[in-house]
Amino acid sequence: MTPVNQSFPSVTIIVLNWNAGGFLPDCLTALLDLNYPNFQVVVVDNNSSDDSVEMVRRSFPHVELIGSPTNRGFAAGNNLALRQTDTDFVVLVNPDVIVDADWLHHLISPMQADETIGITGSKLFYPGRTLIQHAGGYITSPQALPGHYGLREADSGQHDVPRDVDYVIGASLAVRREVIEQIGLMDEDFFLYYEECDYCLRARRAGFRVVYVPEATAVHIESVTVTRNNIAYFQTYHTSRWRYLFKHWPIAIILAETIPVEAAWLDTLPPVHRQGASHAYVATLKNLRPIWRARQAADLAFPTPDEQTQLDRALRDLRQKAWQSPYLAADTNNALSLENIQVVAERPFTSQLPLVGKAVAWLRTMWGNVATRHYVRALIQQQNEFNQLVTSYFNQHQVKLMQQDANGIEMIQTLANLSTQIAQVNEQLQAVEARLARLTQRQ
Amino acid sequence: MKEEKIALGDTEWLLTKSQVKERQFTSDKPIVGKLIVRFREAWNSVATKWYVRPLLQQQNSFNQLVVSQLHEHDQWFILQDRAQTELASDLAQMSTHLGQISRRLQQLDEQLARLETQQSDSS
Repeated sequence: MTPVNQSFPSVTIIVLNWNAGGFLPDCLTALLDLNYPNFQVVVVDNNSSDDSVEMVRRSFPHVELIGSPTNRGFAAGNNLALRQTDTDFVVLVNPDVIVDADWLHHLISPMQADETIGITGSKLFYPGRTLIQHAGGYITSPQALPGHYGLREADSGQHDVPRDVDYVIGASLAVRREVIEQIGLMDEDFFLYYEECDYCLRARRAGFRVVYVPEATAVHIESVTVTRNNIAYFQTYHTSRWRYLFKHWPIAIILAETIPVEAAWLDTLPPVHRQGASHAYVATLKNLRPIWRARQAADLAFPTPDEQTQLDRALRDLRQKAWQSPYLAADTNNALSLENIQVVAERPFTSQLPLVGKAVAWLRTMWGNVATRHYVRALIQQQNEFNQLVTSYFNQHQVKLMQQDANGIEMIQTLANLSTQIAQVNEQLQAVEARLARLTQRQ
Repeated sequence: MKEEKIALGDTEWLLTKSQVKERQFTSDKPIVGKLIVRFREAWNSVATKWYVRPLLQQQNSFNQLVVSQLHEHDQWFILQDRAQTELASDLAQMSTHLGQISRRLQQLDEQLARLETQQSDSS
């Protein structure tokens, strides 16, 4: 698509869909009603199992549809369409976003007016439009946890001034062509989360500004395509966060600040979150080499062997810490540990009644003494024996789990060592082949 | 309460302990002991027994389910152990093969170095 004129440069709007058929019609209807004359909409479907593809074909025949044979995540899905675009600007939109009529005009015009701006983002509201969801984003130090300006604040114009931000979320993100040409596509090794943080950081490093535009408004229903508060969510989220950290942050800061703060932070998390984080540390351990290569590609120093060893050790310790304490019954500080509650104990009768309270409690005790207590006590005793056995059994399971876990970590390390050796052998082989080719040529 | 030990895998015994049963009243008192027992049984039959029995059944079902879950976990551990043993053996084999390939590569490297020297001498 070529620009009609300079006032309205060409724009491709990419909507990445995965099982969001219930939201897509409102999203696409709003996009097709935009007050902007020069744009096209592309829906990338990440192998949905609902009827969203059929629905787009049937109800939005003018929308281009690109299908992916598998769900390859946010970055890879968007890249499928990004590769095919040649417009002046590209805008990424989530299928659960309903944009306002002038949204696109407001996203594009700051970049038209100022060539240093490479990426713009919206003011996003929760459904109902009273609470702000996103007014630009920032990355906290030292854990690289992301934050949103204005999050859950009632909108009274306090975020109505455009400003430079660390990142804008991918639910509504506009990027100029020159940025794509200079820094390339999104990093497909982020399956979900942090892709936009990564992309914005890369754009800023290339000299472009990332700007929040308050006039570009939309409603973001958020997380229709992902279920939060389960282990898988936290695992994906933290795996991406550690990829971001290792890809972009100074190793010295990660070692000196991030790791200790992360260790203390784990104590504050509920078990599901901790377990997700624990899986994320393992996933990160398994992928350290590709992450270091990505770091090198971003022109940052490769960690020294000593730093690699320290980081490896630190991730294992974090993993152990995240996994361990909420579940170990041997943790005596844990009031809910099985040992603390395994015994069902009789309690004396009490009564709150004034004057006659004591008499009521005494009468009940006497009544119970006739037969009930003797009858129930035998049952309680058996239940307590069973509880004690189950606790003992459960503790043995914990020990077994820890053993298997330790074996798993050891095998991961062995595999990592083997991968390193294979890479070395491969390099040697290539060198031998090159020498052999030279030798053959001379003969 | 005397602490009993249980070995991992012995869910059969755990299952027998999971069923809480009513016990007969007893009394050590001479002469009136039998009377006390019969009185308590009668007293208990008025309401308590009928009140507690359904609770007991529910608790027993829960206990049984706990044992069944622990048994399933045992099976899972066994499978994991097998998988880990196989994986460890595969890794060890891979390591051995890689060592052999590495040594062979070293030999080829040395042969190649000799050929390179010969070629440069002859030219």
